[in-house]
Amino acid sequence: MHVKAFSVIMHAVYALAIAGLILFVALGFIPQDTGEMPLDVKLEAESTYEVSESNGVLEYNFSDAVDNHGNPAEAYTDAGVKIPGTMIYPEDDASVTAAVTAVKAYAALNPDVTTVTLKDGDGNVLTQMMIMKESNEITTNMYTEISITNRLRYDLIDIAIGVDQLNDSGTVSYRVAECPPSTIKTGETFSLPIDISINSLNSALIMLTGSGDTLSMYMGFDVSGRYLYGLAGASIYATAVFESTTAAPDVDISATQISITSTDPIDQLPSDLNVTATIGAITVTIVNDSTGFSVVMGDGTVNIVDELQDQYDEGDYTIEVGVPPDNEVITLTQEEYAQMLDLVKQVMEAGGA
Amino acid sequence: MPEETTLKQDMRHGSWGKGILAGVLSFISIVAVPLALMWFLEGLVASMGAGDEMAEIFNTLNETIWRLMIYGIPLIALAFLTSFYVKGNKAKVLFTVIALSYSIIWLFLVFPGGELPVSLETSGLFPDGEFSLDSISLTLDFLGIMLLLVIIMLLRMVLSYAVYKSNREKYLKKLSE
Repeated sequence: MHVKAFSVIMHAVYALAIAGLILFVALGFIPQDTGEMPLDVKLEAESTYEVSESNGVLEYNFSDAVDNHGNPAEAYTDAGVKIPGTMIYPEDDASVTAAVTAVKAYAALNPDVTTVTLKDGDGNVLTQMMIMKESNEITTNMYTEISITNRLRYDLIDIAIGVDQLNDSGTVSYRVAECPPSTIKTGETFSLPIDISINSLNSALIMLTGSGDTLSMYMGFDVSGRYLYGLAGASIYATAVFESTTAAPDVDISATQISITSTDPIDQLPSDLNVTATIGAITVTIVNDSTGFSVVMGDGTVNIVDELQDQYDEGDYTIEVGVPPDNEVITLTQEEYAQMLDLVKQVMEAGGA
Repeated sequence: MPEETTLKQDMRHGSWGKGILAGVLSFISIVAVPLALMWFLEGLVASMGAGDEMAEIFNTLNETIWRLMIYGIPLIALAFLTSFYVKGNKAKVLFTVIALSYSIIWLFLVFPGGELPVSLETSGLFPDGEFSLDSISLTLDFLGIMLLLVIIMLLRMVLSYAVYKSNREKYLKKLSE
C-alpha cells in the first residue's frame, strides 16, 4: 500500500514538474498584451540641456532636436515657464542663434534656472538621438539614453550595455560608454543613461590600427542580460560601421615618429579639429579640416613607446593641449592612458617599427 | 508469495515488439526529424537567397544538430532496452537509470556549458548607406533551464524506482504463471 502511494505521489510530482517547467518557459515568451511587441527599445534622450553649456553646444543641440522633429519648438524652464524669444524653426540657423541668446539672457536674470527643455506647440518634449555635451580639444562628450519597455511576463535582469570603438580588423576594442547592470521590471519602461566620451587621439589611432584600407569608424554594441528569473540569458555583440569616403592615408611609422596624412578629411571626426598636444617629450598634432586629415606623433628623435611608458610608470597621466600661453593640462585616468599606450604599441607593431 | 528473481534472471524476459517500437520512435525523433529539419532549413535559406548572411548561423545549427544525432545514437539503443523490459523488471530500472544518466551527459554534449553561440554576417543588409551593421554575435545561455531538466531527470529516476516497486509483485506473479 505504501509503495503504491509513493508511486502515485512520485507520478504527481513528476507531472507537475514537467507541466510547471513548460508553462513557466512558454509564458515567458508570450507578451502580456499579444497585440504589442514584447520589447520596445529606443535610443534617444529628452531635449533637456544645462544652461551653463557653451553657446556652440546649445546651438548644435537646439538645431539637431528641432531639425529631427520637423516642427517649431520653444524653450521652457524646468518649472515649465516658456522663455520669451526662443521660437526655433527647422533648418533655420538664425532662429537657433536667437533662441540660445534668449536662453542665456534669461538664465543670467534668473540664476535658479539651471536647465531648459524644448517643447513643440502641443507641449511634447523633443528628443535627440545624441545630445552633445561640453567637450575639450581631446575629448568629445555626448549623452543619450536607451529606453527599454518590458512587456514580457518576467523581469529582465542584469541588463548591461556597453559601446566600444573598434578598428576594422577587430583587434582593438576601446570602451567609450558603459551602463551598470540594471533590472527592468515587467510592464515598466527603464531608461539607461549612456555617457559617451570619445578621445580624439585614441579615436584616430584606433582607426589606424586596423588593416589601413579604410578610415571607416567601427563601433561595437555590447548588450547582455538574463531572463526567466536568471535561468536563461543572452549576450549580443553587434558591430556597426560608419563608412568613410576618405581614401586610405599615407602612413609612415617608425619608433620615433608616426605620421599619417590624407588629403581628405575624416567625416566622423570634428571638421575643425586642430589639436597640438604634448605628452612628456612627445608632441602630437591632429588636424582634420577641409584640407585633409593628419596625425603626427613624435619629432623623430625620441622613442615614442619608451617615453609614454616612462610617463605611465611615473604615474603622470597628463596631456598638455595647445601652445603656451593658451595651453591647458588634461589629466587622463590611468585606464585611459593605458589604452592610449596600448594603441600606440599596436600602431608600432602594425607598422613594423 | 512468488519467488524473487535476480537481475540476471530478469534480463531474460522482455518484449521484442515494445523494444523495437521504442527504438524506431527514438530513431525517428533523434535522427530522422533533425535530419529532415536540417534539409528543410537548408532549402528555406537557399530559396530566400540569404545563403551568405545566414551561413554562420546555419553552420552553428548544423553542428548542433549533428552533435544531437551522433551523441544521441546510444539513446536509441537504451530506448530499445528500457522498453524491451516491462514494469516491475529490475533490468527496466537499470536501463532507465542508465538512459537518464546518459541523457544528462547528452544534453551537455549537445550544448556545451549550456550555451549556444550564433553569429550572423549582416554586412550586406545596408549595402548603399553610410551606416551598416557588420555582424551580430549572439550567445544564448540556458544553463539554468538545463539544470532544471537535470532535476526533472533525477525525479524521473526516482519515479522509475517507484514504478518498479509498485509493479514488482504483479510482475513476479505473471512470471510464475
